Amino acid sequence: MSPFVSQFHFVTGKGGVGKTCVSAALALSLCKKNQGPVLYIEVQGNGMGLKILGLNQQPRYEIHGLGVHPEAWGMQLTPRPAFQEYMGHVLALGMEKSLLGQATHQMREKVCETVVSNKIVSAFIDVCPGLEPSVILGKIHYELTQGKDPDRKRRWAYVVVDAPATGHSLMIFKSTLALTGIFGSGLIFKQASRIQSDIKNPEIFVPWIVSTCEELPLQEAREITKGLHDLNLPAPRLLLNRVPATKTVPTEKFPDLREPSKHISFSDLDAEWAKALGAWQEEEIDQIAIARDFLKNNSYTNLHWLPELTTTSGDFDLNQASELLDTSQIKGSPSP
Amino acid sequence: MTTQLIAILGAGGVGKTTTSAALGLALADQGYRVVVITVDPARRLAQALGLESLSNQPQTVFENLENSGRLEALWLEPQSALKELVQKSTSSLEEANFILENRLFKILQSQLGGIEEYLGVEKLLTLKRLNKFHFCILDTPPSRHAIDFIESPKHILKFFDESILKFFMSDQSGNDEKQNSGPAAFFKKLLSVGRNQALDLFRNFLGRTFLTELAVLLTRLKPLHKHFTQTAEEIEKWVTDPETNFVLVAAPEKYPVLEAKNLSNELRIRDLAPPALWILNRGFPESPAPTDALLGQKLNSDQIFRIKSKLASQIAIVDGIKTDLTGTNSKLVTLTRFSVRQLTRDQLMILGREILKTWKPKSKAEK
Repeated sequence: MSPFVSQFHFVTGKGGVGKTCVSAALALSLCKKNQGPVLYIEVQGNGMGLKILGLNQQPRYEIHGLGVHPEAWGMQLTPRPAFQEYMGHVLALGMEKSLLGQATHQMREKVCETVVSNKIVSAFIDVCPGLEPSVILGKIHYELTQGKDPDRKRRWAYVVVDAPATGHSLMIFKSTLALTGIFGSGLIFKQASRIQSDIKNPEIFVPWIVSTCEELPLQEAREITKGLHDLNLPAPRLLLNRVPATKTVPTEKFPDLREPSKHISFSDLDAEWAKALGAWQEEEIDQIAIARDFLKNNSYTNLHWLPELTTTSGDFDLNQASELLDTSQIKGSPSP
Repeated sequence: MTTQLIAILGAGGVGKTTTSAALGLALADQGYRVVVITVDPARRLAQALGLESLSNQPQTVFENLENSGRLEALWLEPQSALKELVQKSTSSLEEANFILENRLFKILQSQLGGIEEYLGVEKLLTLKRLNKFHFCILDTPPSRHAIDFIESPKHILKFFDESILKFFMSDQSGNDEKQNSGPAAFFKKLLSVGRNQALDLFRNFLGRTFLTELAVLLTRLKPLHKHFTQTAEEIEKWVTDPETNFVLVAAPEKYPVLEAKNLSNELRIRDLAPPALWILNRGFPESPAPTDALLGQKLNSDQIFRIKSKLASQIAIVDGIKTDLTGTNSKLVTLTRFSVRQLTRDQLMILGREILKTWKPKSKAEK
């Protein structure tokens, strides 16, 4: 029997398509399934996702409870502390019978802190290509295989990651896959091999690509799909965000996107307004055409969509988004 | 000819690359010689400008024959740029080949993390030294802090610090005797004597194979040190010049504007020139009607409701920025969303001209 690994939802896409909002909505939606605690990780972000999920203090590396749901937990993943922590785990893992293995957790932490704050080590972490992204995946993988919620010490049912934009996202996987090549031996090598086999498992690793109905983001969606495929990673779910003409998510199956109404009467508006609204409407019709073309030419078996969900104050409507995001097909990792 | 730097900054997805190209085209149309450089792996814009492929040499994409204005564009291809750099800064072909064929170097090359940004900077300077451009427009790479590119040569330099080289090149064997004195003694020693023990642990962490290979590679890379130092000094001098034009791009929405404000703050913290221009891209078609009239309309569909709320928040954002910029020298341009499709070169030109109506980049040069 293989040990339990939490299901890893990785949300990426072109910059500006709403990755942060969508990943927050996904985390909340998974919380509402009541299958256990959910960890939301914001990778190198500005804390916006954590804030949306109800963190009302400065985002930190440490795991905090998020106000939006009792099962929601979150952290901000930055490379330096991740490296320090990761090093501790790797060393402890590989040296169980040695001195460091016998040391207490606190001692180990202190040791790693000393090592990481060393001038040479610190410079090395800064410049060694591939190290930073690998450390990020290393930390995520630790949470998948051993992480627990700080309250009741249960394993994470789901880990949702708000990832950087396309190029950097693929780097996270490429680097780790290449680590086994860079480090021909040693503890990092062993660790990277384990990560490699876990993220190739579609029951564990669920990549999501977010895109709006515009040409450039969709092309980037296609590229990252190909990138994942080339790395032998599981096929992604595609989420079309801010789909026009839909206040609720259409229940019809792919690729039947609804045409925006062409019959809105502008008669009671003045001429300037009618012009502005008309232009907007044209754009929405264009968006639907682009999305249809894309879906016709690219096959995605798992397709989701969300309408634009902005409140009048410009905030993202998290609750409605989590309700509309259909996660009923997502079952979580197989039980241990 | 003094080349003036225009650095385009902003969150991902707001149209940095589009703005760079539009501005380049319009400046060239006015008779300037301009080069646009981007490390954006997206080829779409290259195609819109008529570029066939990525390259390490600038290619002419637009010429105004009446006033000899010209736009050249360069889409950096990092791997061959790195190869070029190694060849340029090593003494012999043999030396260069040794590095390029090194197993570790080959892997590192395909995993260019921070090096990509450094290569962009390196290329930027090469173009500046040609003394043939009035403006060099830099489309900054998407990164956590878009201004990181300025610091990238310093990061590379750290790697060549004497003590680091010494550490990686020192003998990897013979640290076993410490294993016998019990955990407490070991940690006491580690934390009090400090450095060497900490480094031993780090060695153990990285693995012996890796360290041996890295030591060999670093020995060979040592001659590049001087090159990196020069680059770091020169780029710093250029970027910190108060005449450098920083352009902030955002969409007129809540989160991208917050990001742009952060960037503006970072410029201040680093003692760089304040943003010369704010561009709010992809706005709503502008309407002269006041917000009140809009919100007073009877809602006759979801669609109109959505548009109204969106427009109301956009108007509030633009007003907010206008207030923020009062009393500063920063200009503000709002651009109407053109299309949800890829822009053609003609459309880019129109956008660029629209920007130049409000703003002229600072320049030391005469046409």
